[in-house]
Amino acid sequence: MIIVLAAILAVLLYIVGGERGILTFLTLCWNIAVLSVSIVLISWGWEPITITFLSCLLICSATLFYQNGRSGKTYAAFFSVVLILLILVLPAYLLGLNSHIQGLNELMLREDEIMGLTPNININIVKIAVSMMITGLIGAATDTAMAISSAVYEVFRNNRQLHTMELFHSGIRIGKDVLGTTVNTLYFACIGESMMMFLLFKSYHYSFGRLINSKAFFQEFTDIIFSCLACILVIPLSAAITSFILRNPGKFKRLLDEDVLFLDPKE
Amino acid sequence: MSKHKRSLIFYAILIIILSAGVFLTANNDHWYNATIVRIDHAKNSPTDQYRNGTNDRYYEQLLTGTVKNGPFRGHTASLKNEYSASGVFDEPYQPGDEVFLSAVSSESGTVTGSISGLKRDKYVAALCAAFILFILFIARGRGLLTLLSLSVNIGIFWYSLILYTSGINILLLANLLVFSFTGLSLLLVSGWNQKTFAAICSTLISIAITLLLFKLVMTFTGGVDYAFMEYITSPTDLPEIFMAQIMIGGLGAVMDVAITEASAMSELISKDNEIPLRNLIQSGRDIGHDIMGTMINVMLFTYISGSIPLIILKMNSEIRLHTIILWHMPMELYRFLIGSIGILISIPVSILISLLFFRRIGRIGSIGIIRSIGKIRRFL
Repeated sequence: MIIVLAAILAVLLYIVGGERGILTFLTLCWNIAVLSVSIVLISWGWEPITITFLSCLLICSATLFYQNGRSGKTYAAFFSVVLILLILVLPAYLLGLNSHIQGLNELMLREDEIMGLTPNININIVKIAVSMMITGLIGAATDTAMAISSAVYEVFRNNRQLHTMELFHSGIRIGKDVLGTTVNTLYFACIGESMMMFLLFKSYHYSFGRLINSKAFFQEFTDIIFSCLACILVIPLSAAITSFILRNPGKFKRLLDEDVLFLDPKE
Repeated sequence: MSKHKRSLIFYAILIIILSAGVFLTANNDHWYNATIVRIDHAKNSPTDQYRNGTNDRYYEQLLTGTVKNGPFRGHTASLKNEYSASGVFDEPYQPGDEVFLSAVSSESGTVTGSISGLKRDKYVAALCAAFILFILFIARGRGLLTLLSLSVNIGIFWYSLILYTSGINILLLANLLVFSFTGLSLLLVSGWNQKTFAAICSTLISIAITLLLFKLVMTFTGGVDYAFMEYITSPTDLPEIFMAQIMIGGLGAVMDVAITEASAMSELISKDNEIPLRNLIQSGRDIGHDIMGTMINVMLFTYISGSIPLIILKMNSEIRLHTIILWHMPMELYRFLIGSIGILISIPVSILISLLFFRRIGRIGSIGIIRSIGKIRRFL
């Protein structure tokens, strides 16, 4: 059944997206492969946060450069995602440490499936929880960053005389449009995923206070809220970086040699 | 008063209100019936057991703390806890942590009991405050609307949970939820106009087609094994619950595609009323190409990231990755695959619906519609 669904997905990607669809499919396979390899490495006892960070870089660069080509906008999006990751790692780690987010929650402990598993894995599971948060937000952050930088790029292409500040403000304005729908996407995906958990809370007659303090709820909650925070914070970053790169192409000559916008017209 | 000064005052008031809220939740012990203890001192000593032949160390903790609420308020508490270095099933406590106690008993002024969990509400409050602050700071009025639609949606979801426990069929509820979520969030995001109605129509149609496709695949391939779902309690209505999860999980992404296509189409038509149909469809497809890749990635990482800890745990229990992916997490994969299929289906559907909405139907007439459908079919 998984294979049938995957086949349908691939065929639809080709019908709807043509050649871009094939690129998307290959990127998707690459991302899943990177994710699997990083999980294997973490389970061998490698440092989880470093591994996650590196795999996020690989995933992000594949999504941006392979799918959308190397240009000012993809570089800008890439830099802003990396910055967002660097900014959010420390708060995520501190929060995870203080709020005991790690490990299996009380609902999972009631399941039969868990019985056979050994808890003695000799890996710091707080760090795994942090890697989980980071992996969760990478998709949303890349999406928003790419939307902003490509929109600013289009604005610049049509109005070459605009200054850095004007470009930045139009980036923020576009960001406002993107933000609402992205937050909605994350919210509904989260509700869909955790519906079973909420039904379970209801059937155990959890009070509101107990729900708020429970580990199961908190794990889902931090996951979605960190993705949302990443989306929000990436807007000004991406707008600023894109407008800076576009206004100062001289400083980024090496990166922009494939960009149509900055090719020397004489050549 | 200048505009700049006014917004400065607004943010100052906002920050004061939010930090007051966080402070209040950090000191709300009297709201709870359960006994809360703040740990003052922790003494850890390693037990010399190496269990199950692995080299994970186990520790014992002697905790002393102060009771914060209830009849024993102000008394000292003395508690015991055990934890492992990995901390999969258990957790260490540090001084400063606040914990809930169950089975409380008091003996000559010292309270004992077993720890039932950490008090996490202040972290929830702090995260909410950060979210509200940043979204209002960056998106201003739009941020307010997003917050409003988010809280309305959470309210609707909560109410539907109450209805579910009172015995209403979950599939019926999910249908109602999809209608109300779609209508409300799209109206709040983009206002009362034709764009919104086009987006609502295309969202609903795309979701219907996706579900139909899923049903078809289910009947031809033998269906889903619901034993792998997480958090199973009452196995009576698992297929319905799974269906509801799929419907709602993909909804956000489909709405995103629909509103993007609808607003782009209306923008193009309003800029140039005589724009040829072929160009319109081409632009719609281009926009679709740009958003589909990253949207599918969002689905992938949102769904898969939640199961990372469990996968790592299972891999350390000598279960192979191949087995885990195929047998232990198919639910996540189904959700991801169906959500992505929904995104892809919604691209042509929303182009078509937007065309039907924005082209003056009276002028083209029904023949025009039929012809344009034919054109699109040929184009695809």
